[in-house]
Amino acid sequence: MRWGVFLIAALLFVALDISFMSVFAIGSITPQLTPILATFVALAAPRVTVMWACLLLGLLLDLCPPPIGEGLNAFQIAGPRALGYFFAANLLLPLRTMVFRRNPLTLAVLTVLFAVAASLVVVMIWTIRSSYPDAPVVFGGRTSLSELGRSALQALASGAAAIPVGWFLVRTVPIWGFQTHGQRLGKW
Amino acid sequence: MARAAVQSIRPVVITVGLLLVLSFLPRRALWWVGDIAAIVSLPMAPIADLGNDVRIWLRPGSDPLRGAPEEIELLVAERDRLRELWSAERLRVDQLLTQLEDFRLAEQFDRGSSFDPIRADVIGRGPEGLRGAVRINVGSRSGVKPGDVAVFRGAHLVGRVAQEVGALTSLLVPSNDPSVGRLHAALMPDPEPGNASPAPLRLLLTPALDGSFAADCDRSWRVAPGDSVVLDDPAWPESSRGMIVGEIAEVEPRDDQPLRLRLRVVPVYALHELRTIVIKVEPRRTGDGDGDANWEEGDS
Repeated sequence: MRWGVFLIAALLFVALDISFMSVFAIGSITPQLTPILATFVALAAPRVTVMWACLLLGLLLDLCPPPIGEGLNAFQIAGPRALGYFFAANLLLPLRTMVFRRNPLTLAVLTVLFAVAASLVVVMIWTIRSSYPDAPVVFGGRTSLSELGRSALQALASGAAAIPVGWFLVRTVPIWGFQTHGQRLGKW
Repeated sequence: MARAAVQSIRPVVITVGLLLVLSFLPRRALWWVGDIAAIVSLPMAPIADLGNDVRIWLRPGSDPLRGAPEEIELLVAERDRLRELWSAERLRVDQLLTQLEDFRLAEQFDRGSSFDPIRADVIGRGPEGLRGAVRINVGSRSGVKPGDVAVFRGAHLVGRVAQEVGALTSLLVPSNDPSVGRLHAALMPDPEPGNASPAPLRLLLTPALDGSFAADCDRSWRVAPGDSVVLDDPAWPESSRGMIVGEIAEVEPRDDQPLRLRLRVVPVYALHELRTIVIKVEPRRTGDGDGDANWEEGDS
């Protein structure tokens, strides 16, 4: 995989997630592009490259505006999303040999799975952190369970967004430099 | 050789272990992460800026004045601004009356509510979407300090600057975010014959999960949907006093307390739907050096 292409795409997708994607919001549910990119990479890149790429994507999201603690102190932590994405990537890696990647729904379904798996880790870490004495208000004041429900809906929205975005990403496969068999990604 | 290093699993394991430790370190050991976040946000800012423009173009937020002639827009903004000043003066007078014997009276007169407006663009939100803090493209280099307030259309309070202010960017917390806590506010009754300045009706606003505020009041109060609720919180900067927190959306009797009413107050403008806001920066004082002291004093 060409890391330059990936870094540009990562910055672009994260920037769009934090600015543009709320145009598709239904209530508080906003689809996200970053899990789509992570899933796309996880389907095609070598195993260790996938892990690095997902760690980097999660880290970029960790560095987005954080929860706010007591006295309006920002609670910026590097780790929860990076670990969440790492966990989700490791969940997808064994599955990618079993899926039919030419099907346009594959990326959508796996994006849902990826986003749900990542959110499990994120919610777990923040739930543990919320027991710290100087903990911020996490999940906008919701409980961990309702946050998991919200994350599942968000994952579904991201999965829906993955159909058109995935179509576009597959068109760009030649510039990514994946060393995989062309037929595995195929043409939609 | 280098390729083999990239494909080795050992560095990944070490990185994951490091991130695991970072995830559970106490906050005081992670002071440097905010600086890295500010640096990382810079290359994304132009794209996010463009993304915001497109988003606002495709789906503009709820704005009662959308489509109104510019003249009406200016008049409403001016009306709200004057109403804010009037409310602030009434609240200040009320406070001064209760502190008449206090020696701080002269100082209160001196403080006034002067401020320097700084225009700021929202350049990033949290990955969770429409909640939590947002990043704005002004920081300490523009004079922004922790605790400064953000406004829209002159008199509508939308947020407050968080503690960590970078040189070029800073974080803005929506006024209805649960982390801001409860807000002391007031309803300003209209003048009546024989009483040109009725006493303000004090409310304690509690942020709700849906972005609105809940408050209880006495059943005898004359409140109606559409009434403006203004800020009167000593923990907030003086320049924010009298600013509009929101409007009453619902008034319902409380079943468990028949003599009380439950009010639902909804901000007119939601920070996450806005593209540009104005930060009210407290002017720098020379000599007394009390800058942040007001904010810390109010917060304690």
